[in-house]
Amino acid sequence: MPQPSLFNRLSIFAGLTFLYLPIVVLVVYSFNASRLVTVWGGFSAQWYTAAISNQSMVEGAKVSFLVAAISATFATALGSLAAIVAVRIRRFRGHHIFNGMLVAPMVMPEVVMGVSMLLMFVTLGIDRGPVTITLAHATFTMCFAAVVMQSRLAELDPSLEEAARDLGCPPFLAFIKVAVPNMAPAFVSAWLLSFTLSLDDLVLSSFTTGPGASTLPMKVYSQIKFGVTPEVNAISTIILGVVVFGLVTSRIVSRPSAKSNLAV
Amino acid sequence: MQSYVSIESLSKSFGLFTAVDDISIGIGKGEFFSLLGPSGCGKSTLLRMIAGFETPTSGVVRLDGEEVTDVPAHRRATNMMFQSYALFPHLSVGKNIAFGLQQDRLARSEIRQRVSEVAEKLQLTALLDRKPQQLSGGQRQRVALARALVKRPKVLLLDEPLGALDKNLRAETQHELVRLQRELGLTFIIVTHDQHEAMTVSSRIAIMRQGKVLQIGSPAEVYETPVSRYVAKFLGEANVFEGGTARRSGNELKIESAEAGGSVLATATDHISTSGRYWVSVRPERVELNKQGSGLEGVVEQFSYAGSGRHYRVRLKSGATLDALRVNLGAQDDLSVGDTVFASWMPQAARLLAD
Repeated sequence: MPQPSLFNRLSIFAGLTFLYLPIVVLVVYSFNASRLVTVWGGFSAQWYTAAISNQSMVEGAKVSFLVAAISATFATALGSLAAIVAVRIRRFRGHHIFNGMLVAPMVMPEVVMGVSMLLMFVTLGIDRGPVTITLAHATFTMCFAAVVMQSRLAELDPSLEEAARDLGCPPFLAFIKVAVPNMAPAFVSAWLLSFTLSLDDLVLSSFTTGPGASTLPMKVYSQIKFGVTPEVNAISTIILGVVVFGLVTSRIVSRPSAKSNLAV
Repeated sequence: MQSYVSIESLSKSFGLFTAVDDISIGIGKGEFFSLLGPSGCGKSTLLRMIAGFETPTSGVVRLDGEEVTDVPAHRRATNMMFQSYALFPHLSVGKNIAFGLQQDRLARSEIRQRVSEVAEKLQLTALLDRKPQQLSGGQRQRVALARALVKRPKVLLLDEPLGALDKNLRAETQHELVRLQRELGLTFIIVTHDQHEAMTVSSRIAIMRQGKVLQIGSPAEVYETPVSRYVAKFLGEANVFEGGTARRSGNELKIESAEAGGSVLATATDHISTSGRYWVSVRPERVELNKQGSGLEGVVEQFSYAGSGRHYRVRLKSGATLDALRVNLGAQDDLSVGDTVFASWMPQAARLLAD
């Protein structure tokens, strides 16, 4: 392999530093014994203990995980249905618009989505709280789930289901017996992606929340207004850990299985 | 004769495109029938209509006397072997083969027995617990075949079944298919674009082009008596020259051909009139090349050695090319590029074509 040039090496170093140095600092200072966020005072896990025993933070975490789990389940189910329509039916009237609208929330400003959902909930007279946050998150993460499912479905050989039908399986059962088991990794992947996206969302949650329902990112954000303590670092590190775990698992699961290249 | 599979004025259009255009074919029980044609000729669409995956725009499909035109694929007594094999990746080889029998809700003991029977026939017994991804191409092909055969279909449909195999394995598998088909006495319908494959395996071939059937016949019939220039050139090689005035002496015709730059021989037939436009076709292996003598004069322009034969391309004086094949019988080759040669053939070697 040719050696990359000095310029290339420097620029990649600078880029990665810019992106990840703040996170490294955050993680390192979460183990700081000192109360000051910027002065190193020795190693300690005391801020983790403090975070875990902080009742308000634990409440926030509970809300966050519950919202993330339920909204990810909805998003995966709806996203899969949308993907099936987009991949299998393909050329129906208005399929361009359908496909566009499916992925639009990915690039739509979150503030716009937040305001519109808030207005909708108010108009419909729905009390805002964990339920409305869940609905909002499901709507916004659904497009990511749909994209994951779409790519898996597109690479699934359509003659698999035809073969099942040919062998005596009615069309719907053929889908359940053959397509669904082969999409299982994509279901897991889509769910984890939706879960992590919901977990670290702040903007949508802030717009669609009501009294008494605060997610963890909202709690952290409001605590920062009163000054940053290493406790915030500790919580952030925990969230980071969960998100990284979710994304890495999602990637590993959705990777085309290495076994398929193992022809004897 | 009552046909076992009967296709009656079948058509299929996709929008403005007509994939299959008013085709009628009767296939007898126990036949090994080939649908042969270039890609896009409608042969796969025709097969998929027999399998029940496509609904014909018009026409009728009959199977063993019963009309099945509107019967969905899962209730038809046909089974198909797919070009991609379409093995279920999440199931083991054994479960892949058993899948069709489970749909029929057969007793477990019977399923087990029939799976092991077919596995033995196709040398898959040792592989039953493997997953399809762990198999070689040839093994996958056999699993796909086993999965379709275990259902004991009335007709087995094969869509380019050997396309993914390499050349040596393909030849071996062709013989294997013919042996299986004879042993089981089943009716096979195969789709292929490989004329050599169609000739090797089939009892009869239908040659298709642009949604129409051009000719149906045994391999020998379609090779020896093609109905048109297209069929002659599609099945093997053919030298085709337009014929002009013909002189008849007995059963022999001496035809003046401007395209060939001389007179060529053929036998007189009642079917082809030599008054309108017509063509003379002769297979390369029936052309004789001599350094002296009579015939069409030309110069050897290209030579290729193909092991079993030597292939010469001759540039005739008229400017047309002529291909000749000399079977390699071990004799010394006396022709080389640049030599002047005279090409001739026996009258019965040539065919007259009206189209």
